[in-house]
Amino acid sequence: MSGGAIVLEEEVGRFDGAKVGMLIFLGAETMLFAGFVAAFVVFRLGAPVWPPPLQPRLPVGVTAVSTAVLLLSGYTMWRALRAARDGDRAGLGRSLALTGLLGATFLAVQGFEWARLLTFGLTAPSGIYGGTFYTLVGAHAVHVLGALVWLSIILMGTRSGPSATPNQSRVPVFGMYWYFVVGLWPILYTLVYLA
Amino acid sequence: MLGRRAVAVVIAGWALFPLEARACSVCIGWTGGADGGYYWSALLLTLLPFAVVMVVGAWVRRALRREAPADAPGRTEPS
Repeated sequence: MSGGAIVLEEEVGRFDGAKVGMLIFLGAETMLFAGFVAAFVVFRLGAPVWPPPLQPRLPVGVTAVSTAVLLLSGYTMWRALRAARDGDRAGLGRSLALTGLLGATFLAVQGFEWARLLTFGLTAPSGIYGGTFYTLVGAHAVHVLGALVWLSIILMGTRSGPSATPNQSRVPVFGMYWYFVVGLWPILYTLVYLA
Repeated sequence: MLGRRAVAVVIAGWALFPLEARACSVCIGWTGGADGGYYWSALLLTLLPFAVVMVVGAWVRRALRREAPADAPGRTEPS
């Protein structure tokens, strides 16, 4: 490709070391969250009553909406990847910005919920309920935050300069991470909020 | 031959019915659902690394296979 078109390493069939690295990293992340989930399941099934008495109930409805927002960001990420593959710089920037906006919205809603829960007395040291909740949901939020920082760096690269940058060529790798973060949340939501 | 089979049966029995594993210090006194939670969690954490390695391996294998024809000798790039 030439003439300012975006050159990406998304060519089908190309062996990309960065993707393998990300895949291995995501494997480690999967194990991390599996450990958290396993601990939650042990405590959850071990408790005679869940949630424990005198503990605030989690906001299922609001979180369902933020879950939908995060899932929507998965779709915009898919559009971004398609735009990157087609060399559509404007579409790539637009879709990535929208993805970031949706991710930030999800994070803001989560933060608002946490602030409310804290005022109701649900803190991490308050017991198993609060401890497992903040560990699971907090770990995921940290991952979303990290993804947003990475996305900002990519976006800055997308909007500056006429040609492709190394950051832009890593959009598919970022996409893998974003899909992981998005795909993980419904599992955590079902476990923590609905089960 | 019989000896090997007997050893295999013993190993399989030990693996499928891990009573020793349930005797951990954390689980003493836990009954009913807690045992189930511990069992399924242990099973998840035991099997997941294998699943992760298999997924990564399958992905790398697929990528290498797809790449192979492109590098095959005698193939010319389209102009």
